[in-house]
Amino acid sequence: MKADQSLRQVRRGHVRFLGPLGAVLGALVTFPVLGQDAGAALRDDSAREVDAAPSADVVPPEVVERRDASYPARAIAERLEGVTTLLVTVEVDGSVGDVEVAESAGEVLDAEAVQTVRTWTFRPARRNGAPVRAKIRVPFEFQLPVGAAPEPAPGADSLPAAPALAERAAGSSAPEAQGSRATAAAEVEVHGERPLRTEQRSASDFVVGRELMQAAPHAEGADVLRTTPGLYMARAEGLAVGHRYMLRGFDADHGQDLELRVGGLPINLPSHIHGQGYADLGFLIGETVREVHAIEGVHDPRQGDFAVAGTLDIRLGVAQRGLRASTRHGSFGTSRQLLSWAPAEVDDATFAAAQLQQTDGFGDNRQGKSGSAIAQWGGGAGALRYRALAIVHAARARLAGVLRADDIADGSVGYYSVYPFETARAQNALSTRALLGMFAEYRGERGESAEASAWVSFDDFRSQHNYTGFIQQSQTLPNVAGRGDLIEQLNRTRSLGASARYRTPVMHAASWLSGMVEAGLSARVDGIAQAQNLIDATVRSQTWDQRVDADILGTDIGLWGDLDWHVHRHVALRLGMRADVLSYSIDDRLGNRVTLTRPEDTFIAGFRRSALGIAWGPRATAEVRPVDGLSFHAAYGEGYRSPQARTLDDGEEAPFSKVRSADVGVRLGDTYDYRLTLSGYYTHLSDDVAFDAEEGRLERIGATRRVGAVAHIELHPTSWLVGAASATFVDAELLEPPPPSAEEPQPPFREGQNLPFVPPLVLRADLGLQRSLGLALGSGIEGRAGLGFSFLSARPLPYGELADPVALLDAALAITWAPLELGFEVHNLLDTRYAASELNFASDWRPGSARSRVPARHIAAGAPRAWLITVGVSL
Amino acid sequence: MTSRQRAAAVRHLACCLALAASCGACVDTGQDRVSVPLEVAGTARDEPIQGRAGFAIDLVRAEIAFGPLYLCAGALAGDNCDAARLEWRDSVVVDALAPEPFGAGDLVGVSGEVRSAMYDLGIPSLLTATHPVELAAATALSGNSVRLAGTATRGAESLAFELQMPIAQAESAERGLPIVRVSGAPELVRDVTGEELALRVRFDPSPWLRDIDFEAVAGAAEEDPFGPDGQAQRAVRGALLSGARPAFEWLTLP
Repeated sequence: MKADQSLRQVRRGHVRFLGPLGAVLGALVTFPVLGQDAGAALRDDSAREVDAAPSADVVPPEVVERRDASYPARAIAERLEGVTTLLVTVEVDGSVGDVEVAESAGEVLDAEAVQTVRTWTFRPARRNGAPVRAKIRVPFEFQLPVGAAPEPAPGADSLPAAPALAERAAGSSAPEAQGSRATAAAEVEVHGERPLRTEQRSASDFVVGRELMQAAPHAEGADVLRTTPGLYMARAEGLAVGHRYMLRGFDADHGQDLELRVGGLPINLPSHIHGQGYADLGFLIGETVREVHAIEGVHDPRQGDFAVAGTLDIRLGVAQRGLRASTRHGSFGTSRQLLSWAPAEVDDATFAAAQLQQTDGFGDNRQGKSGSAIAQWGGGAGALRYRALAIVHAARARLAGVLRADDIADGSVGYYSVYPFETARAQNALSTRALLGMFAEYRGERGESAEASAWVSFDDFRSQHNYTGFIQQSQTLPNVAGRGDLIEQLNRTRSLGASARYRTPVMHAASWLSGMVEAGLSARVDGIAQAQNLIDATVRSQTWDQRVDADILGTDIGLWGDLDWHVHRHVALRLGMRADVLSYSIDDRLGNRVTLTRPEDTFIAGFRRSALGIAWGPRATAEVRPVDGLSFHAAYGEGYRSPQARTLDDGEEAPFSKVRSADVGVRLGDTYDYRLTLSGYYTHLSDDVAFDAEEGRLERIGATRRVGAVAHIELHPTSWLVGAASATFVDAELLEPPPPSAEEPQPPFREGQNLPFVPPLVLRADLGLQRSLGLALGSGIEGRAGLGFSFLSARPLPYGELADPVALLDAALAITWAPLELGFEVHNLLDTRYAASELNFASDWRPGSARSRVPARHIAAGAPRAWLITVGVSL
Repeated sequence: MTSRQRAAAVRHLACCLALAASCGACVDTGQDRVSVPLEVAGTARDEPIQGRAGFAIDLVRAEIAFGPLYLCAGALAGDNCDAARLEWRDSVVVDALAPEPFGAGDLVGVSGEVRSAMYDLGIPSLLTATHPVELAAATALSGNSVRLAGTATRGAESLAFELQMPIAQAESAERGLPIVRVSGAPELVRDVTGEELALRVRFDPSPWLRDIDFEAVAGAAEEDPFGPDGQAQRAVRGALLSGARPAFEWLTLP
């Protein structure tokens, strides 16, 4: 039996409403709830009676995600028992705010209780359907098994974690005294009226919690995002180049269509030479991710640049407090060392973690190393909170690049190999990034709130790629050609940004109508230096052609307003507007360059230009909730994507692509037990881009539209099992591709065709099991198992080709005993030979024979089956 | 769950995945991968070729190295044909006096309109090499692109000749580009669908020889007037590169 059920169903206690006092409304509601012994409470019929039923318009908090308490080894050894009662503030967004120890059972047990409850997330309390901050009383009763000894006899049952106890209580014949007890009765004190800014505004919003993210194994930190419905990620270019993201009909490449935030810091880099919105999540340490809020589509006024397919807001927090060290080793010389520290006396927002990774690679020329450090400090109390976040990352990797499928087929080159030329073997990438952010948040008693943040970012990216072999010619040196198409790219971005928002207290227009207004702003300035050259790997990286040499200063100032109103308790309407002023100053030092066909110089190369435009559009959602557990949603929004500034003309007034996104859907369940979401969507993008291998960057392909549907289910059928599955289907069409021209007589795309690189179907399934396995030497043994499955259907490529489907299965087993942890993971369990990336373009990798000019399929191999063993210790 | 139920679940999963995998079949990629057989042929000569200054030319040998061949989407082949519609990267020796077509291989590429073409005569220029590279057909002709032999007759005057020469891209600015371009040939223009039976390329040697000044050659002081840099070779080279294009014919079902 789940705790949230007991919260809603077991109502005995009393309700005391404070009544309106000025603008403040409060209530104190007492519920016996939430315990790991909740099952026992439910078996008691009297517990179903509500002594003093809460007012019909007040709904207490519900647990959405809960980690189970463990009986600390030291407490077992010292035979500590008792009740720790916590006063837990459930914030308006469902997070845990202040935690106070109201009744102590001693330092050890108190700390365990506090750590445990800080990992919980809630659906907030509601008044008249509007979320409000609440304080609940949560007692944890720690009770040793009868006869439990510090060193129990072999074969003795464990001191189970809470769910196991709850399960027994629900009907097992196992003696209840076997485990610890942590009953939880909650007093819910509603401090103020906070019609919350609901986290999930449409049927295409998802919150993926830690429990689910950690279910399946992940080879690196960013893999925790794979659980996000509709998202497919591939790492085709090694440790130092960003993932390739696909989300609900968008090939977001390295982030062009997907706004990414980590801990509130914007990750996308505008006008990056390797792709607009370039977002490398290589720095992410999976253990530090608390949850991911995925907003798919555009309908929230806070969504900014690159929110085309949607936004992933990755929130950080470390559940496991204390010091933790682990080392992981496995196939292909892969290893990872992790060190994290999370002081027990503070909430999960405060931690520091660092990791080092290296690999020999699963094939030739794939060695890589990286290091990351993330430190976050959360402070303040009550209404005012502060947070500081620092991220530093560096990675360098050699790249095998892409291989022609016909060369693989005829044995010219191995699937996991690299072309035997220096221009291919010299492929590599280097990435360094540092981010620092400061955040302050105020949460008033009347529902008003405010946030302010400031951040800086430094990013360096350098890569050497050869996609095309030997087909490039110098555009400046007429007699130079065929020295290997090794493209060197350099991009340095220095960014400075800030944001602020204010949300008013709740306003009552009528007894059935209440709401609030939010206003916000964001601003960022990016100084970007970028260059692209062709270099000869055989002659000390001689530059033999220059393609880009530019400096860009970009500014994005965003303003938004948001009305969030509730019509009675069943309808929520939100109407917002966002406007962004985008300006660019470009110093294109190779602009207007004299070409080989026009050798008479009449001017000097170089072209400075500027552009400014305003991207604005509405963001609106409607939610109808006829009964608890069933809601219907509709959403519409207009967003934008900033351009590759170098491609702008002087004075261009719309330096952005516009996206229009509409969603309808239904949510069922909406509890911890299960959640089912079905939604349909339509998206129109005014000017899409696709990867051009010849230049190694994104090029415009015209307007596109997508019509799709998403189905997602999340299940917690028992306390030790969690599962989720999603399916995303899309029909994506290219509406207005560039017509044939003299320079491009054979464009790769045709009007009306399905969009290249976009899979019509994406499936994802996750399954995780976690339960107590017994006792050994006085400490509990906990076992975990997980499976993750991803499927990507065949997808169109340029020039009429079709990429192969991808199906991947990952599996993990882990066991934790006292401070020790042992894990075993297998990635690509079925050893599927698949391409992490497939492209189709003309290349020539046979320099001694007649050149190939017809577009050919190219693949970047995905990793074969790989195993990893993790050994860790937590103190 | 019983083992029977498990087996059923696995079967259902497999069916679902197969269905999902087949999603590719309903994807409109806009273009199609196509392959069209390439045939080459010569032209039977029952009558002597009429050359300059009243010479009648009887050919006993007319061989040409042909390939690679690129069919382009643009009206002008050359720089704008970096991505070709169809290509045939091999080479073959064509007996220009044998009218019977034979298969040289397949043109492979992408469906769509073809408007121009470019090809080499067995010795393509490569971006990766300072000098053009000899393919198999040219090797078969002893490193030449064309080999001609015959007799030029004017009245009682008779001049036997043998002529062979390599023809390759010499312009450094054109390095990597095929030496012969075919543009504005209506018979070449076609929206290729892949349903074509073949593309037939038929060579006729008569125009190759029309500009040879046999009168001057006969009176020339050189030891080998048909050797390199002689007028005869220049004339043949000029004809092959500019005016004497082969005939292209798309063979289709009626």
